[in-house]
Amino acid sequence: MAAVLASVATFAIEGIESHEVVVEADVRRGLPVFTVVGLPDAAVREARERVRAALLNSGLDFPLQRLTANLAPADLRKAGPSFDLALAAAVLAASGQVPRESLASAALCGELSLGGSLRPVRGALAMAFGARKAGFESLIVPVENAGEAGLVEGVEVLGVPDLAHLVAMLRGEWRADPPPSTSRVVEAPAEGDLNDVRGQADAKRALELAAAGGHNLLMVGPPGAGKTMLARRLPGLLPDPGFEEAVEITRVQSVAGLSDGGLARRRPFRAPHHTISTSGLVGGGATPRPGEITLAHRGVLFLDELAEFSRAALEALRQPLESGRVEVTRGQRAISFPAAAVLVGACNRCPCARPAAECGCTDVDRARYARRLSAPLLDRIDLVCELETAGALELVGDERRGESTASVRRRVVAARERQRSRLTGTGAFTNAEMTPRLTRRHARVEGRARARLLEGHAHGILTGRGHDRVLRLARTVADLAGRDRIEADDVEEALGFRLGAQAVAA
Amino acid sequence: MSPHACDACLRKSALIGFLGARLSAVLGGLDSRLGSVLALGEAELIAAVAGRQAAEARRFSAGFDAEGSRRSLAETGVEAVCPHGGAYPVALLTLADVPPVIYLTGGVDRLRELTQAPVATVVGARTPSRYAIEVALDLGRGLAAAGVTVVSGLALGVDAAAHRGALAGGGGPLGVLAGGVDVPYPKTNRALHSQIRDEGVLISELPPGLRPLRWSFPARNRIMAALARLIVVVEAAESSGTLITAEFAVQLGREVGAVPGHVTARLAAGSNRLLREGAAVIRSPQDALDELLGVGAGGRFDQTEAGRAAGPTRLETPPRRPTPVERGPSPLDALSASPRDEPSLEGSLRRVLDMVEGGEGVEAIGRETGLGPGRARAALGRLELMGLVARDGLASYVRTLGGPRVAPPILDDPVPSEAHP
Repeated sequence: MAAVLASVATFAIEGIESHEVVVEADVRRGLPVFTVVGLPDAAVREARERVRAALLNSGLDFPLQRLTANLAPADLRKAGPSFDLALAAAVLAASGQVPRESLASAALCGELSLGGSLRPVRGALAMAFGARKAGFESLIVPVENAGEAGLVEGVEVLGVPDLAHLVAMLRGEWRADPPPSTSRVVEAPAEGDLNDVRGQADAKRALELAAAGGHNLLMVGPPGAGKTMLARRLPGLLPDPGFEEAVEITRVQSVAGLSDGGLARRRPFRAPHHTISTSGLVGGGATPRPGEITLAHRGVLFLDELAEFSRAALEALRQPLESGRVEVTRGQRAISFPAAAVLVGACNRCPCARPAAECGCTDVDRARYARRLSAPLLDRIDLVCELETAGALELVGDERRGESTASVRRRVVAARERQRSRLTGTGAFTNAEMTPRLTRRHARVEGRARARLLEGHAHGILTGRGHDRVLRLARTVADLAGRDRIEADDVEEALGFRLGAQAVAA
Repeated sequence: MSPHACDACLRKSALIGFLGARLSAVLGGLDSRLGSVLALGEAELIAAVAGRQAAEARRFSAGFDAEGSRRSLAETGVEAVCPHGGAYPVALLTLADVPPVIYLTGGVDRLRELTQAPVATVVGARTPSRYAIEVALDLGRGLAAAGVTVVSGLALGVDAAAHRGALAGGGGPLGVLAGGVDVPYPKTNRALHSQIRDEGVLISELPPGLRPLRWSFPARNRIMAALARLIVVVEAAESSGTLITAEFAVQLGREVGAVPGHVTARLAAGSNRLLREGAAVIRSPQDALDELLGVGAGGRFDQTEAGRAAGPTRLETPPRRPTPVERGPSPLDALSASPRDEPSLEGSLRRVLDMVEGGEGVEAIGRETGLGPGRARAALGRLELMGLVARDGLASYVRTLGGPRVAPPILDDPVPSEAHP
């Protein structure tokens, strides 16, 4: 008796990319055994039990024959429960319960419950991109993933609640609703307004500069001064993500299982604890998962107590901060994660963390503390600010409420707009991303401003790299002021905000 | 024939070196019996400290080969002087326990020259504040430029800063080591050690090759105290080695001066106590010169001239940049309306500088001056370019000693200092 063979397509997630996987099911006479081959992990092998129970509980037949499923290509590691639906569909097609041609131009993904209903999977957006690239007409997903996958145009996304509806749809007896419009997605609650934070004008100015030019920032101050509060308000100062950026953010969140099923409207803010491992921070693991820097893509990565992070973890951040991507190599495969985040670090003035007047730390103590901050990382930080103790704030009084987030953001958006029009086509979006060549071209200083910089060099305040950092920051100061020309004052402010040379040399 | 050490003194010195470890065991670190033990004759010394090594020590002493010792000294380029030959520093004879031999590098002539000039010892904490380092550098440079020999102990912190200042001021610093003169200690000061060896004089009472011992630090301190007419304590916590030097100085009848520190600073508690107990207040090289040579004698000394005479500074590690004075004309000159010695800063800049000097943070500066955060940073950037402030740590600023001095705001700031447009 001839075997019955069916094949359906699904996707495996690697990094934030998806790879097409073909599920072949072979049904032939023999002892009723269900075998899954093709480098499945434990979760995929367990799919056998879920598929069997789901089929039976949905009133469908599970063939009492010898069943072999193969996941091709066989050299790609398959992990997770998202193959359930494709396996079930392959079995259904091979056993003749649904027409095989109904699956010819569709791809499927989804996790099955024993009752036959579908659970959402991670990375649906990436799979939708993959389906479009591979030329599928439709992508069948759990109904909860439909909104997210539907962000991709050019492929029909069909949201299905359970196996029974899948079978009805494949038989032409039921039609899936079109995916919900993305505009329906509710906005996440706001992180709070900048004017919630009293005083700390120096830090607020630094935040504004960081937001306007995409500069990495280090906040120095005693505990309780409001470093975390301020850092949390940085995403709100950044312009709203455009559609492209929002899709990038959603894609990462989807793979990491953080997506709420729609388009991400807010820039991410990630604040990992300082005990985080290197792979937790930059990504990695046996099956590489995105790290915090990737989860903060197009948003803000906040590292509180910067000096307490492991040295290895901090050094691993250097390359992502430089290139905006993380490269993780596992065996033969290299996986690339996006990692374009603004870094905000926070640390104390000195190891004792007491206000200046009570501090008993010596220069040696402080130098040792600064050395823990990893010079290569500090090298990527364009500006520092200093926060006052909460006690000093009491003296300021409550009546002086600072500027609101919305008001600062208007300036930031205008400054970003200036940068965008200047940098279009260069690969850089912000001043912080300017290469040395771009810096020379777009952050030209003349006259008195130039004299200031030369003075800095002559007095040993500036080094070659420091020179570029100051120029990029001065460019942002001028952009915020709405000026094309960089003035001497802009250079001086950039000099004032740059990281102390002691720390970089240490 | 050049001055040299006699056989008996070389033998006594070698014996002290031989018994070094035993002395550590008997005396510990801060023992007041140190002087009386080192003053003992050879036989008594052996009896007092050698213990079970007594027989061995006697054999060592009896079999000591003075000529051989001189030969090996000559090979290492180290010279030795004793009280019975020429060139021995006369000031050391005031000690109860006169070191039998002073080993030195840099030449006996240079040693004689340096010890015959007015001598000031500058000592202080090994882990000082940034402020203390600035002051020590300034004292070293100013005193050296005025022709004063600056003595210190090559330790980390204030000692090293004083030496560096003296080198920059064009003087030959005199370094007193707790181990052999050829043993750089601490190792991190290796570069400074070799620079003083080349440009100044290094001395020690321990034979070459010996590493410093617990008792040899206070022993070194008594030599530093004895050599100078004035001992300046830049910054010292309570119960620190620096205070031992000051103690020796008092016993020897030397002048003791101290640099005032914050009264709240633990690091300066010892030096502030010295001031309370009557030590001279040292605010500048000029104050030290007044103490050393009498008021008015500083006519020989003009800070500006001294700075210029020093020429390009030779500081290797960068504790501070050249001051505007050293650089010649500064952008400040353009701003100053008053006579050259007391330039006045543009209103807001001066206000900012005063606040940095008062230890205020950037936040407070922006608020109090009305400049606002960005412009406060710009003002600080400008002042840093002028060499008037420097970074202290990651984000804060500190007033440097270099550059034009600005008097306290209350005393002479009739100009209303508000934000300039």
